[in-house]
Amino acid sequence: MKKIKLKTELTCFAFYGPIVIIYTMLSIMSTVMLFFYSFTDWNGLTKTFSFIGFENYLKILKDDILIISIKNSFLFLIIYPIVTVLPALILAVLIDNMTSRLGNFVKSGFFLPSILNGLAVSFIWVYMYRSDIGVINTLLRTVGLHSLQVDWLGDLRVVILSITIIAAWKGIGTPMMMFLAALKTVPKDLLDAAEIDGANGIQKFRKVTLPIIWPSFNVCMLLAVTGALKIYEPIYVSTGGGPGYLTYSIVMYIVNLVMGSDRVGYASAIGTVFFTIILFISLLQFRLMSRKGTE
Amino acid sequence: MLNMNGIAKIHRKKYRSNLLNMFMVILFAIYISPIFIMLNVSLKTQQEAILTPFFQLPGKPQFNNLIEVFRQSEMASSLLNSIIISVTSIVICVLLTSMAAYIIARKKSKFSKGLYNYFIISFFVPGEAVIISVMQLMKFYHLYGHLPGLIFFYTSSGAAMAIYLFCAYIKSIPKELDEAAIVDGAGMFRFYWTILFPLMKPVIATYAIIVGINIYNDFMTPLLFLRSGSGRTVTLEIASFVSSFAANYPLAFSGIIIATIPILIVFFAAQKHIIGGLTAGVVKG
Repeated sequence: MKKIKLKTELTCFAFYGPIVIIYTMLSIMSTVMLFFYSFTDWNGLTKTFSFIGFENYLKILKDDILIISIKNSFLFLIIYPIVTVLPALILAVLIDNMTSRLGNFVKSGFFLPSILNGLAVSFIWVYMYRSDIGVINTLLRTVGLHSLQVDWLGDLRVVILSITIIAAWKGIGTPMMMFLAALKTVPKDLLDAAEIDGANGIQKFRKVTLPIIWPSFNVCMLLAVTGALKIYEPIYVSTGGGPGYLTYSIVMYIVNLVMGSDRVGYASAIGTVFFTIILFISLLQFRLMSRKGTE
Repeated sequence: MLNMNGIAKIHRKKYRSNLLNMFMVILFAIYISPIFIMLNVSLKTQQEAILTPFFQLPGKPQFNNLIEVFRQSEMASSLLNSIIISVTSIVICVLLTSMAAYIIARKKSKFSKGLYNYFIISFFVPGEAVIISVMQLMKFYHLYGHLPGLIFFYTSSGAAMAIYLFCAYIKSIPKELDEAAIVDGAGMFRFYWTILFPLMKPVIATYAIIVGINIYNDFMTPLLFLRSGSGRTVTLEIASFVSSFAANYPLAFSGIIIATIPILIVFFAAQKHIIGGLTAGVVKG
């Protein structure tokens, strides 16, 4: 009897063992090692290193580049959800009211940029933004609005917005699809009943549709907020983080630290900070979501 | 019964929906215009691209640009590398995780519950944060700078989402099926391979397509884990375009178009799965 049990245990292990081992070797180990490295002064090359406690974390406070990066990431965090989730909701509502065949076609079209390569998309937009032959400035010139011409990727007042728009063009499709799916769950007779009671379109949307699709609104917000912090390719292609470090984001800084230098300990500390920020935002959002749910 | 008022209302509704359709088609055309601008510019000569405005059609379409891309870059081998990496990672990940999910979803024990949570925790770890320690681990495993290293990485990083989806799906399959198969004398492995795996096809297709596209499009991982000389992926090829053909837009755009074709094929062939998957919440933040 014991032998049979051992045999089933072994068979089970054959099923889950391989992926558990791979997953532990990389995904789990990398998280554990991140915390571990962040307390050392390891340069990634030598065999030995020493523990320096919180010294890396103290250095962070005095790192001007990181402060610029955090500031920019925070700007992305504010702008990106506004320019993706709201337009996505409006688009979804409009598409939901279209005739179904044309609506399906338009829906796929709006979704198409989401599956394109982020690097390629950014490169197309860099061409669109060019101040001389770029699409946007050419259009402005043609219409006669010469004064509105801006060096979209050179002018520090607009560059963060320009970069966010690149990411948003690609990022709008997913929330739009989620809203469309949510809109399909709104019961038709409820809307009809509201109409009979004399509600107009906006009232119907606010009082009937919005409460039903609210959970997906929250999910989209959460995804947009974390997505905003991870914007990388548009910065890489458009400004490369420059001029100087002025358009760096946290992720840009981490990647450049990983590539360019041997400060493994310090880069780990920054990674830990980034990890904490994302975790904090996610938990906060979860709290807000569950509170809304219990009301 | 319809009175005149009702008919007028229906007419008004129809008129309004026509107006909406028209408005949306125009909006849609504006929204995806960058794609058409790119197609247009890719067919110009280098001079035309700089001297003529973006909306002017090329004097003589330069389809040669597409061939020129293959001559001047390693696009062919990069395409092949990317496809091999995406497909292999997905196949390995799907096989291993679906087997694990079978045990996790079917065994009612504290251990399997714990195993499930063990996979789910990595949802909370952003890949960008741990990239530095992943890099050191790859060096430790002697996988840094090699294409198989990427497969190893994608298999591991795709596991959490796969386990989550597959477990949910297996739980929706009635348990009587297992018992019937065992009465018929099928072993666990036979049951998994001949009955469960075919049943899981829809969820596997959704996962494979969405994560496959993500792997194909990934830039950061190959950028950090491959060295020059170890072979490139398509995204790295585009990146090198961006720097070496920076002024030659027709050639750069042609390269981008070539790199995008595999994705478009998958998208149009499997749109249903992609959209179904998104609405099930298969989104990598």
